[in-house]
Amino acid sequence: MFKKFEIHKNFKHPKTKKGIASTIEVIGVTLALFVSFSIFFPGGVYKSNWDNAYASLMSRDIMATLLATGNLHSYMYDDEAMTNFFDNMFPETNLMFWYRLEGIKDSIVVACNCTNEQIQALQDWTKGMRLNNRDIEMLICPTSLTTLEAGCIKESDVLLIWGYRDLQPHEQLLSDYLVEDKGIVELMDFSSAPDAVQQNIFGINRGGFLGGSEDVLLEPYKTDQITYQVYKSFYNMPLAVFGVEQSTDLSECETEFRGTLTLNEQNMFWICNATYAYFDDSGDSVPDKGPISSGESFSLDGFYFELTYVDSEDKIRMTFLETPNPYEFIDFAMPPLGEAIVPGNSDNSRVFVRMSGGANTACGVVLNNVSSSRTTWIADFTRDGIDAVGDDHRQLLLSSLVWASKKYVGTEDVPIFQKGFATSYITIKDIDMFEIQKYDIGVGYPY
Amino acid sequence: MCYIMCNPTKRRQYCIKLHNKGQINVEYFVGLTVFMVVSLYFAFRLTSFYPEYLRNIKEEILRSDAYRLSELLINDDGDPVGWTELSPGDVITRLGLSSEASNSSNLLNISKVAAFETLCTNDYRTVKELVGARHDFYIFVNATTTTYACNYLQSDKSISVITRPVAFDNGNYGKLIVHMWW
Repeated sequence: MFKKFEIHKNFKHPKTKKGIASTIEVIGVTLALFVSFSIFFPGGVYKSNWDNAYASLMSRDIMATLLATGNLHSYMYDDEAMTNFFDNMFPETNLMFWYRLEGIKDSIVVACNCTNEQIQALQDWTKGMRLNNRDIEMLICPTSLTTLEAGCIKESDVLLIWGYRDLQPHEQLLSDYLVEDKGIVELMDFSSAPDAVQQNIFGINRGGFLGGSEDVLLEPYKTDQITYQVYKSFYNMPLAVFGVEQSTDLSECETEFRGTLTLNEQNMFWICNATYAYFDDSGDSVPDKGPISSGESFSLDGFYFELTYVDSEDKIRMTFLETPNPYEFIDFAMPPLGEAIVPGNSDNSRVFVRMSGGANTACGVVLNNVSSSRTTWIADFTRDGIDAVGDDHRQLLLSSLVWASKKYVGTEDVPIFQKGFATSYITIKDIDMFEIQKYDIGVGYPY
Repeated sequence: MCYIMCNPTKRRQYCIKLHNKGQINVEYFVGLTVFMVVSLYFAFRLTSFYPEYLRNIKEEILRSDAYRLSELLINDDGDPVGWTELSPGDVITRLGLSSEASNSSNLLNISKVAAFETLCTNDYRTVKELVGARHDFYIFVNATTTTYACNYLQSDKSISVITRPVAFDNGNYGKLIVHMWW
């Protein structure tokens, strides 16, 4: 150890400097600790997430309540009733809501770029539609192809272009229309090759050769094929046919209405006592087939049908049966003085109707998907005049319009929520045609 | 006093501290301070959170109890199912307002709602037992044109409130509101 120590002459007491350093260190460490604690051990905030649970439960309750009242379906079509419901339920909350019904609409607005005579014909053709125990109303209104922002086309679900138009000046309008999830059906022949708009939007091109004298409905080979839904509608959606005059041809009937069913031939029919029907199958205006009641099948011109309903004294509804013989039209696909049409890119999966005779014959109906929307080209079966149009053509057009139309009703734009929940209710109906309807109700908070 | 002894023969001076008993060194002081800061920090946080957490937990319990009560009333028929018209010997063991005529959620039988109000007015304690509620409550049923209430005089005490839309078997809709408190 040290032997000779002496007090250093320059010694100064250490308190004056070292103490200062330590105090600063302590303060520094303390501050650092507080900062690090606040980072690594943030203040506990209790979050019950009750808001989320409440919104979720509320959407379920609203759905259940509207279902229990039996008015869910009608409320989906009545914006005012739905708003009143929410206002009554939650007058002082910041809850927001939206609702939507997906499926074939009860009321389909058809914007028709056509003449007044054609509109009148459409109104007659679409009368009395009823599917799965609910009326399907088609509202026909005239439209130009100048703007989407006003008039009939703005509110429409499907656009029908009847007769040849040069659509090249309207390409942007048609594309914008399709973006809104609506569809377009065109009923036209071509005297020259379809232009770029026809190729892009309707997916058709010049081509195909003359086949047999019948146009056949091509059965889709799988359910996700584009033609499946139209095929399903054509064969399952009951077609309303009206007796137009009272008659006394049948002695056993107290009330009797007579009309004409125009398929490949004209067949007279009689509705007797609003309970059953008779048909003329031989062209002699004599009721040689019947009585036929609701639900019974019968044949005419070699094809089979079902008398689905006898609705009233003057109205029956019937469906086409695909067995034993799939229905065939008398050829309308090939215009006498026009171009034969085939699908672009030789995509035959989009062909719904084509002339018999193989995969390279001219087509009568070609479907297409543009983004999420649907377009249909149909050869103009009215080229011989509106009066020459048969009930089979009518069914074809109605099936196409139903398929192409917008498939939802309700809140147009789902609001942006800070947090929100939706409840879905899905129903399946299979009275006339297998149909799925999906109801959504969403509840959420804007902030 | 504290003296520092140094060895002047060495080029670098070595010094030692003498007579430092009874004093704490700086390192010890720093460590103690840090420990105290940490302890105080956690003690402070705990004491500030605990009452709030406790209150929140109580609210959760109350809310779940209120929701359970609303669910029982809305979606249970009660026992016996037709408890509004008891046969001799029948005893009500559970109250529920759901309509037994239809297997629908959120569909109340308006007669049961009216009977529930009467029962509640006459004997709230029994009603509380029959719905299995652990806390006191006030129930309000708004049926568009008519309102029904249970234990209305206590409504100012409510802490937890559950509002649920309901349909009635007379075709109307309305809401059932449960207020509950400790």
